[in-house]
Amino acid sequence: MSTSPLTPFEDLEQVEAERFARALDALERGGSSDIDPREDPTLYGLLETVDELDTAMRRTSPRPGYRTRSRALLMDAAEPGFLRRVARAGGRRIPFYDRRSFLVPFATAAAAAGITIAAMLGAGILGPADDQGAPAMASSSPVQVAPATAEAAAAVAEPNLTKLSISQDLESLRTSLDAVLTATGRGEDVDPKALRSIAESNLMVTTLIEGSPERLSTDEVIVYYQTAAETTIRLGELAQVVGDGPALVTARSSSEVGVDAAAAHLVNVQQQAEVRQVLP
Amino acid sequence: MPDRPPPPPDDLQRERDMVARAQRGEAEALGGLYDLYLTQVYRYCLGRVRNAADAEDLTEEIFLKVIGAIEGFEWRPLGDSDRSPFRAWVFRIAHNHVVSFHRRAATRGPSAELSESLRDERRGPQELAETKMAIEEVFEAVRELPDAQREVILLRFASGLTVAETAEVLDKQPTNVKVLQHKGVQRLKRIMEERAAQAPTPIQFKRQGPF
Repeated sequence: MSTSPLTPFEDLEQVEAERFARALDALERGGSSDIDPREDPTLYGLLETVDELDTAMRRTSPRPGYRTRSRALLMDAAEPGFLRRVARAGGRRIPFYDRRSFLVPFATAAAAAGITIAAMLGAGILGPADDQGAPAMASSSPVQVAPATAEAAAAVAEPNLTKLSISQDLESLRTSLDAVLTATGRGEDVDPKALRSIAESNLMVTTLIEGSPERLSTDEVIVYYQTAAETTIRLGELAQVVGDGPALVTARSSSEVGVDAAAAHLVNVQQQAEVRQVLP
Repeated sequence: MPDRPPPPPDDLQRERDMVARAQRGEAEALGGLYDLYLTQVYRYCLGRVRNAADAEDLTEEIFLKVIGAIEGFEWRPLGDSDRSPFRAWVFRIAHNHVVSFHRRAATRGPSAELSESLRDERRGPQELAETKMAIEEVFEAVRELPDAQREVILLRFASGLTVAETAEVLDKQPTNVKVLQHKGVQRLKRIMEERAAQAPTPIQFKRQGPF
């Protein structure tokens, strides 16, 4: 910083800068700048420019999908022990596969819950199972959920709230998975964007399932469960071929977490339905 | 006007508590700080790189750095009691990280996809397109500013930092920040006026009868 005396020009510049800062400060605090455009058009014009700048900035926000994915990854990174490891790594991005230990309990629970759900689907409690008794991928073999059964369960369990739809996320999940599988089938490189999109769609749906379960349609959660389970399987197969890259691991882990959340939700819906049936 | 006025003291106290809990490793507090600063950090990054995908990556990396270093953060007042030293600290990390990003990626060209960052406020397609153009023009204009002015403009108006916080981030005197702010907005106004003057005038057809 300069310590030399100010020139008259610099002095004037500082005075103007100070006036501008004071006017801005008044506006930022919710007051009025008291600047009359006729008396001081220059200063007024600068405030207008700031207003234009501010308007543009206010209309710019991170995408919800990014927010959800990024938050989940950061929370993952904040696991005890990770703080130190990140610090040791100088804040460098930690490859997601280094953090997988955090997701193991989810994956295990999802696998266990998956068996229950598959059995429930097979028994026609929540909807139909596919021919192998394993969850079907909605994109390659569209699932025909038995609405009568599912809706009956949902009607018991779900209060009359405005429903949220996850159809857009489901569509995005299917499209991205298709893109990944198509590229792999052609021997092309997998676009990390498609893998990121899978992670984001999964995390968006998972957040809704965990945050607003009562506002989701059971039918859609069933379809999501099946799609996420299939995604997990397909990405697992892909990893065997191309190896585990961070984007692939993130996509697969998010699918596992999604399967777990959907399974827990559906089991809960089923249990509530059973309780209602037993009650007089 | 910038996003947020300086937080009132009780907000600052809440933030201080949240920081202390985050330092003890409470994930909920870390999540709260992330929610508090995500948009501000993201806008700052977008103003520096413009490409939405790069801005997203940078934002995530900055928060990883924040998480990694938060244990060592010390809450030292910035002089005024109503300024957040934590916010200044977060943006100092952001500033340094973006500078090193530019060093690393000096050869990479922009591939802007700003549209992904636009808030969908239930606008129609035409309005969205117009908004997108207007926002892109503003970001373009900001990018044309000299480095020092652009830094101040982004920290002040994209991230909502106060003059004192901006001075802390950039290691400058508040007076210096005010001068850069004044010069930056003057220049920005000129750039935007020039762009508006160069923009083609919409063709107007003379109606010659009912269509």
